[in-house]
Amino acid sequence: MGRWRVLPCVFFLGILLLITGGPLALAGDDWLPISPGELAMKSHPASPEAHAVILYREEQTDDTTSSTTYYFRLKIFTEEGKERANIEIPYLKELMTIRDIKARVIRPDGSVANFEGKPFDKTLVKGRGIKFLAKTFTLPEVQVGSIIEYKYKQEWDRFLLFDTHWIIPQDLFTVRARFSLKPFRGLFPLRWINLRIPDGKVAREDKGVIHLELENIPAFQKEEYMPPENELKSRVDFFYSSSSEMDPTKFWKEEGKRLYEEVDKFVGHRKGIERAAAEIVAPDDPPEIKLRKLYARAQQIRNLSIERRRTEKEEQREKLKDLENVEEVLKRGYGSGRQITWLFLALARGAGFQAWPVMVSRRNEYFFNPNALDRRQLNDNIVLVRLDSRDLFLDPGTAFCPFGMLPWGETGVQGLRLEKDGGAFVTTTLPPSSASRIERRASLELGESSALEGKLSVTLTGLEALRRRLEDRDEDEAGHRKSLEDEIKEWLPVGSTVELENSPDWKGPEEPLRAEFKIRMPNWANSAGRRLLFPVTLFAGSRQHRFTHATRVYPVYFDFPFQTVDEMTLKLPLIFQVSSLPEARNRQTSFGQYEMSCQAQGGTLRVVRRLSSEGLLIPLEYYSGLRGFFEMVRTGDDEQVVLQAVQVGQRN
Amino acid sequence: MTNKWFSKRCKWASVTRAAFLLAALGAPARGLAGDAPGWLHALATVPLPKYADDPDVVRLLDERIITVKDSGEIKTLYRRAYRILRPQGRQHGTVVIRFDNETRLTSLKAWCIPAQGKDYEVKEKDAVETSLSEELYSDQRTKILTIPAAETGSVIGYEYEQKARPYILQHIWWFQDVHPVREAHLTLQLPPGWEYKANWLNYPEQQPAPLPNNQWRWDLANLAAVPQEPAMPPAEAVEGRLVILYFPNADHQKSVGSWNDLAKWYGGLTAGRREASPEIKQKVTALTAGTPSTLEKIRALVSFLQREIRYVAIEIGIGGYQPHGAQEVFSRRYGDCKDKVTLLSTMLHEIGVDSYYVIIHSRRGVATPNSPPALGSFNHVILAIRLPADVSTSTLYAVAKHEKLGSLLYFDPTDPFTPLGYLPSSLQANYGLLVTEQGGEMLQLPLLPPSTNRLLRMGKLTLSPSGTLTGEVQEVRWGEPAVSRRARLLDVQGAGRTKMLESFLASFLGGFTLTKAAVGNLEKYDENLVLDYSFVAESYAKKAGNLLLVRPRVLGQNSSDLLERKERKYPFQFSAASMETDTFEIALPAGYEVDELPPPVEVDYGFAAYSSKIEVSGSILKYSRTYQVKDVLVPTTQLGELKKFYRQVAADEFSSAVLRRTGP
Repeated sequence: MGRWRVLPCVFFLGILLLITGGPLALAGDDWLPISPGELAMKSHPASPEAHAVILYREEQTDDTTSSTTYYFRLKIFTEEGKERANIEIPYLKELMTIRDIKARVIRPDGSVANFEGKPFDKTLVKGRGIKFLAKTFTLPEVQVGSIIEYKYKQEWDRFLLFDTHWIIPQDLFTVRARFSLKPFRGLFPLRWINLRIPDGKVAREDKGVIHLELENIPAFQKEEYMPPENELKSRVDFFYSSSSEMDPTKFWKEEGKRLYEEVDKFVGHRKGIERAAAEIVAPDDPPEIKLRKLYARAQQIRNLSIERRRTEKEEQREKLKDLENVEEVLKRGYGSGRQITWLFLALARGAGFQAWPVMVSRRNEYFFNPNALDRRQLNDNIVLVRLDSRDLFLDPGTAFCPFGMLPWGETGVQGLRLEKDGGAFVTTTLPPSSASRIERRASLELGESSALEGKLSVTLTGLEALRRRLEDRDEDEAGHRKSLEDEIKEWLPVGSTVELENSPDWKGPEEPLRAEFKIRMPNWANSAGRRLLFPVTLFAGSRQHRFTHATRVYPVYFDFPFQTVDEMTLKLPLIFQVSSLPEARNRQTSFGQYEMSCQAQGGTLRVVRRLSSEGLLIPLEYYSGLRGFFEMVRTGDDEQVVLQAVQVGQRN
Repeated sequence: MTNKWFSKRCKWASVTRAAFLLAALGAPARGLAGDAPGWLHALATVPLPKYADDPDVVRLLDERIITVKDSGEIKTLYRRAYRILRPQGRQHGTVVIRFDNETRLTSLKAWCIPAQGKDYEVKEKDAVETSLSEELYSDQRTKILTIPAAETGSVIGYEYEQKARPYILQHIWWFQDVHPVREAHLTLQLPPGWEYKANWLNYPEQQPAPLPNNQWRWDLANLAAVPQEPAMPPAEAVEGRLVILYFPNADHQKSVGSWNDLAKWYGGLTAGRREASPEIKQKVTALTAGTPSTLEKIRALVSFLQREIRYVAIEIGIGGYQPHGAQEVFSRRYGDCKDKVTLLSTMLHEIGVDSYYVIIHSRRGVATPNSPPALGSFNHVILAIRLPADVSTSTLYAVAKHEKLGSLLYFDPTDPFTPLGYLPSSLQANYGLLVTEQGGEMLQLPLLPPSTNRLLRMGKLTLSPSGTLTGEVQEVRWGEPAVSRRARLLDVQGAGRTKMLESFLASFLGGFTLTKAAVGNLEKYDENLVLDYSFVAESYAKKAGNLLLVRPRVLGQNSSDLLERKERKYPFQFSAASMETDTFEIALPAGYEVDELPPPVEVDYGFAAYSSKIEVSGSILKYSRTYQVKDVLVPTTQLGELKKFYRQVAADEFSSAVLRRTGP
């Protein structure tokens, strides 16, 4: 180990952002001049209802001196904006120091009140050799119209070398921002990647220092159904790499080789595995049956990845040891999700299948970018198996994941198929909407008191079932019951009662998750004189409405395509007959399909409703169409059935 | 353990944040092999009855042994044990102990007796510490210790000792919990010549077992769980508690046997804090110049406090209770609740108006005249302003007559949105300790009448033959509805306000477009908040053959399903007495006539009333309704009526008018 150690900065940065919402200012008393315009500013036209804006932000990192200086200047527009005068600068005491903190308030008349107090050292977390503190202080005399500014220097141990990340947007509009990085020139070459920087700007190196200067940066805001934040925030990521390769194709080839060697060391060609595979499958099993048996066997291994984190002592007592290879996984009967997946790879090969390890990049937190030469993007593993002429992507290391499916984060993503020569990029399959369904079948009776009651059966398949099983994996029977009943209540009108009547299979990955309920909605139908009115679909009273806002800033992102299928039979009270039914609807769009029909026969109504959503990432320009589609769905669901009171003998 | 004044929000949120950080920072505590103590093993063998409602855990033991030294130093040993019954109970394996410089933590150990296998032991060195809190800075700290193998079936227990020199010699024992408690014990060891006084609340008085050497022990067993129910009074208002006062029989200085004693103590603590500096005097003169009436002068000072003095809490040691001096608060332009009260009181004094500290709990019902006097019953400070005779109270609703002090106007300068004359809803009908020069007394603050908390919603709308509803709505709010909406609107930035309105409309309308939205008087806290908006809602009315079905109650929901859930044990508490009036005039499309209308509704249960009616005049259908909450507390004996009330409101809200096509 040399003098320097490269540490992944993601971890520390995550903690810092958690506390502050973002890094913050120059050492010394050299405050930048304040313009009359800044003093007089009442609001900013680009962010007219903002509580405050960042007038200036500066972040200068010098890896040769292991320090960063920060400078922040904010303009306060509202009472709420005054909260910005409370400052917390988090730091890890063992690794960093914060010094040269200077702060001041410029009153609207231009007079200055300097911060002359001493910052408190607030303990965020202390223990087990870690002291995570925050320099904490507040500025005096802050008023609406004030400018506040502060600056400080962060220094760290000279034996450490952190990756640097310039996260451009903050939670406030930024008028001007300047960044610079003076890299350490040593064993590890510095790389950087510009991601979504506005106005076509990029970080550029000039005389050994990388610079970026930007203006008018909108505030970042959260929206429902948005892509991962990492995919939306403009940023520059710097990382010191152990590889000197700068060409992406060659880089990934090189990394593919390294990864292959690591996997091969764990998987290898082991006789014991071949014997085990032979015991699991019968020689005359068709290939798919063989593969399914091997998959099921892998999933029987105790999956430590979904268990509660254990203390060291618990691990010692349970004799959980670090596993060296797939044979140990099989022999000991436990392993991480990743190890279980590699065990399956070995078993499949042992049974004679062509199978490859694949490292993929889950799309839960960011999307894979091959130009970002950072192998940490490939953060999960699956297996590619050739079955007859088909290629199957499988992930038995994800608990409850059925054969032939991947957890949604691994669907439709790029991965690196590992081979001795480095392998090649592959794209995993994205299951169609029909593979992940919520089916709701109800058999109900409308009472003369307007109450609707009966049975409801809910079946979840594919990714819907997988997600639910993973989310509720730690629940006991009572917890499962409550969780399901609460969810059904969310779909039904206020005041509905729901009672689970069966014991759903929470474990079996290959079976749909089926739950049976007894439901009662006390005031389902509304009385209007001699008529009764009620919505055509059972779930029209759902309290969840999608896309209620006319505008949005970011594209719409669904986790996976899905379908909802509802079938309801409703027995009507004898003293009423159908007066009017909604017209059938069937609308196919590029976003999905909505179908609803309602028929009356004898004293019974039959309603069928289907909704499918096919999109994954809907560009912003199509938002209006998407919103229109879901509004049309809501309108269709809200259509009313009208019953009219009759003599019993008159029913048609 | 201390309970300092004032945190605006629950501190547990911060502890959760620390626990999250802990999770991010590294592995849980290393457990060591070690036998759990005999007392925990004894508890582990106790057979348990079958409990209703599937509790996550049973608290097997809550024990505290308080040893008082002649010097006034208090040593308290705490023991707690749980049997984990369900996976959700695992969170009890994370032990959270709060302490500060006055309540030092001297030892901490925890154990687990797993369902199978050997015991585990963890100690203080395995814990992490945090001082995260809602205050900008506080000397309060928290130790978080993770107990290994805290799984379903395990018995976990911990023991810690704290040494303290309390400001007041008293101990509050909250012996009930959201989970059932199997046994609870409190032992008090006093020095010779010391006495104690025990006060019980929400639980029958229990006599202690006398032990030798001035020692007493209280034993409780099989305590029922206190379930959390929506809209119930705060748990502290219904849970059993014992407040023990102890004191040397010759010296009662540090004991508070009455509210008057407590008020005197606080009076002493705040002595000298309300001295006006020349700068304060100058500011008062500047603020009140040109305002001849006393009331206008008061308004000017109140406005300064609400607008110019920022809420920032820095609490160290006695600073949790004792305000900073008025001069310091004024020069820094920030402070917490007691600091703001101190400065306002000082400024009022400069215009000849007396005022008094009122110590209160921010949740109604925690402290009442029946509660044993205790410092820990409060978490907030507001001001009682003694109104001079020349001040008219016609626009001041938060006024109550005091037999000696005359008209007292209660005011909370910490709440930036509640104007002078009103009170935040949680303080209305609440009890506070008035602190005067002579001592003090518990007083009930006024419950403001429904007419002071109003929402008036008026819509003029037009329905097309295709069912599209178009039109304008105006909402006028004052009192509590204005405060809560103003706070929400001011909290968001940019397009957030429009989105907030869209989310509201989406609860009632499908396929709508918000075509106009404006907020009036948003930052004029003394004036009515006015929202004007327009929308187009396609397919609002549903076609059914030659009929058009219209819901006349276009917007707003007063019904609730809170009473449709499990059987309740506790009263129902509204936030405030209030009145909401909706009027929607809908111009009907040509070629349609009214065929059937929902019947009018008129109900009054004493605590709440509701009326609605629909009138047709020419082609205008006019729906109007009034929803009124008249009392904030509905006792359990009237919960059936409240349930019925909500169902009647819901039936009206979802009823439809039927229009029939008359033309071709």
